[in-house]
Amino acid sequence: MYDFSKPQRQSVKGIAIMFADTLQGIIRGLWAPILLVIYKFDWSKMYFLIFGFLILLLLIGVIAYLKYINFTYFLDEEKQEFVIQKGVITKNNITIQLDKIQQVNINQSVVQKLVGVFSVDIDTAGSNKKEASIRAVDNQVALHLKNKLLSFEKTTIDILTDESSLETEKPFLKISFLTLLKVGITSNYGRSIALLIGFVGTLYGGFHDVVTSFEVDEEEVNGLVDRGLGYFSLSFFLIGVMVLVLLINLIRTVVKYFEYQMVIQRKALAITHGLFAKKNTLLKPAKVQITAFSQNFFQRKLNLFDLRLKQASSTDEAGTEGKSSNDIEVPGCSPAEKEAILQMILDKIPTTKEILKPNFRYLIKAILFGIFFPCAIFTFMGLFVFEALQSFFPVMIAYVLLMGMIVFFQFRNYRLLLSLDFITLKGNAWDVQHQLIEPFKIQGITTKQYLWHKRSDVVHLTFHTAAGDLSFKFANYSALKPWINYWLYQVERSNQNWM
Amino acid sequence: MPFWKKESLTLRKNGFHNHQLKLYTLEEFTNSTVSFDSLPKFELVPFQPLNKNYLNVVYISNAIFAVILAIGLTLFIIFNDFVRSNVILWVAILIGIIALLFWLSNISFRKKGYALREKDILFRKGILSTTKTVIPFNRIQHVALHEGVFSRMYQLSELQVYTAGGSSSDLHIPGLPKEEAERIKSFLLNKITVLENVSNVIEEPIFPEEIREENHPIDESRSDSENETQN
Repeated sequence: MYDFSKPQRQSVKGIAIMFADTLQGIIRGLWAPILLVIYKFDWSKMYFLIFGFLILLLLIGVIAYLKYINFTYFLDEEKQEFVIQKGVITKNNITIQLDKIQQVNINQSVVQKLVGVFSVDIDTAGSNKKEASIRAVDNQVALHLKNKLLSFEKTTIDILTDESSLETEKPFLKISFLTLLKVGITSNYGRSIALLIGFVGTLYGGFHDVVTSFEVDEEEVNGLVDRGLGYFSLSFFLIGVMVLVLLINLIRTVVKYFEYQMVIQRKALAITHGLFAKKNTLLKPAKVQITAFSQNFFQRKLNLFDLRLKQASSTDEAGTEGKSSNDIEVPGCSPAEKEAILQMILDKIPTTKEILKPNFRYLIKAILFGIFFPCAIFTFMGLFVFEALQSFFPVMIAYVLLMGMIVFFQFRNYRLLLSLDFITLKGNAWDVQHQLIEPFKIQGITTKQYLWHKRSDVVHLTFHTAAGDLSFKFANYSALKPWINYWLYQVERSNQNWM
Repeated sequence: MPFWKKESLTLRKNGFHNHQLKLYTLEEFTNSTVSFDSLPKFELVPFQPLNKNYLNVVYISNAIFAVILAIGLTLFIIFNDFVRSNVILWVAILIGIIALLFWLSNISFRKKGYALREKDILFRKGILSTTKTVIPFNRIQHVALHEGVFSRMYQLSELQVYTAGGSSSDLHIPGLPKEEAERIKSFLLNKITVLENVSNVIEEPIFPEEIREENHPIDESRSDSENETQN
């Protein structure tokens, strides 16, 4: 009854959906001019407007009809492919391998509900969801199509979810309240400071509004503030900010990761945490694309690691696994626990055979863009544009010292650690991070070489993985070439599933 | 004969030959030491240039852009006193921009190139830099063909190769003759399916339990859908 083997059109009602889509697109693209026209319009010429509007609607109708006529899809059972052909002026031909399909979603928007059709969105790993979407089919067709498409799928259905409640094993990893406190104090300074700056910014804006709207004499207030804020109170204020940052950190960490627990259930990791909202996540080790762990100076003293497991980023299985983001974080674990998790996920503990350092040009670029240009711009502004800035020139010394330290540590930590089974990218000045990938999980490799780097044999390397790109810049090309060939060999001969 | 059909002749030189897609047994999974020197070298691969007509396609779109710029400048000359007072300067700037545009797109055209090896596809591009991307066949998600209005005049199409690595690793190879693009596309799709089948065969002996369990619900759903379609 439902035969998808020949090119099919969508439901005739689909014209209405195409119409709505096109109209929406036009309004979204042209809302500013449209508003302007309405605002400036001479209402005595109303008829013109209505006439123009009708013509526009007619035009959209024609476009919608053409879109409908030119959109066909069919299932090639022999080649195991699903093919969508679309496009009025530019013809697009999308072919999807059936076993590459991650998920098929049947959705209904408000407009679709009005007309009584459904959209079928096919989710393949990696590409945009919108690429393969059939906008208007009847309910029955949608269900059958979904069934047909998914019946070729191999191993993505989890039986694990059904049994997870039955098994209660002893936790593989448990993070105590004390550890959470330690983590809260030692990590995520950057994020909390940004949060605080945003908060203070809005607060200051509000304060400023009050001052101007009540016509309080601004000079008077400023003078008061100046007198009040001596150096003593400034340092006091800074300490207050630091305490606040720590407090925000602590509360965030505790609320988010309260009673963090990791249990092994049939080769998968089940993770639960949260104070108010318990969050459950089920993770198959094979699905982890990038394993990252980081440690800053304080955490090193406390023997703590922050571990992050990155999964393929385009599969949103929020329904079954209840996660909002694809990153799974283990906020604080001891070295032994870290090793155990790595062992669990990677099957072996990474070793290092060769260490690649970046070229000194890395340092030059960082100094130019991090220190020299900002200072030059600041000096220029102070000398020629706002003379008031000149009194802040001493701040530059502190800035140069701070940035110099950051750049130095960044350069010292920026390394590519290589072994036959692992690629490790080490980096960052403060939170020293190691990002691990297994060569067979690479999706593609890009090298980029600028003309002026040719003679010095410098190249920028990028690994494309399903969880995002990893780049190592200013590498020695000659040292890298055999490795790239080796990784390609690893990927191409590997029959291991990358997820 | 298109070059990629000659692959069996030319590409055999490059190291590893599992072209015949023989089925691995468990013993062959052991990791013998690999001599890095004997691996095929990606940096030595010769790149195929794009079809010459594609340069015309680029020039046409450049010309349209240039015409739009010229119209804009003419309007300015008519209505803006400041521009009218140094017409020559502005016209010179416009001509300079257009010349630069054509020059850069010429360089960009000459730098673009693609190559197919036995097991991966390479693409090179860039003006100030040279970017080479390698996508192994067994990491390709799907393949699409696009045809622009002007490309269609010259029977050209753009091949797009999608991977799971996100848009930064997707390949867009423009300026392929339509037939050639179609052939490359079916060649790639064919490679993908064959590779998938091989990996299926191998997986079974390793995890027999898992496969059986995980297949179970799928079998059910398949029979369901068949029943429904019979109704």
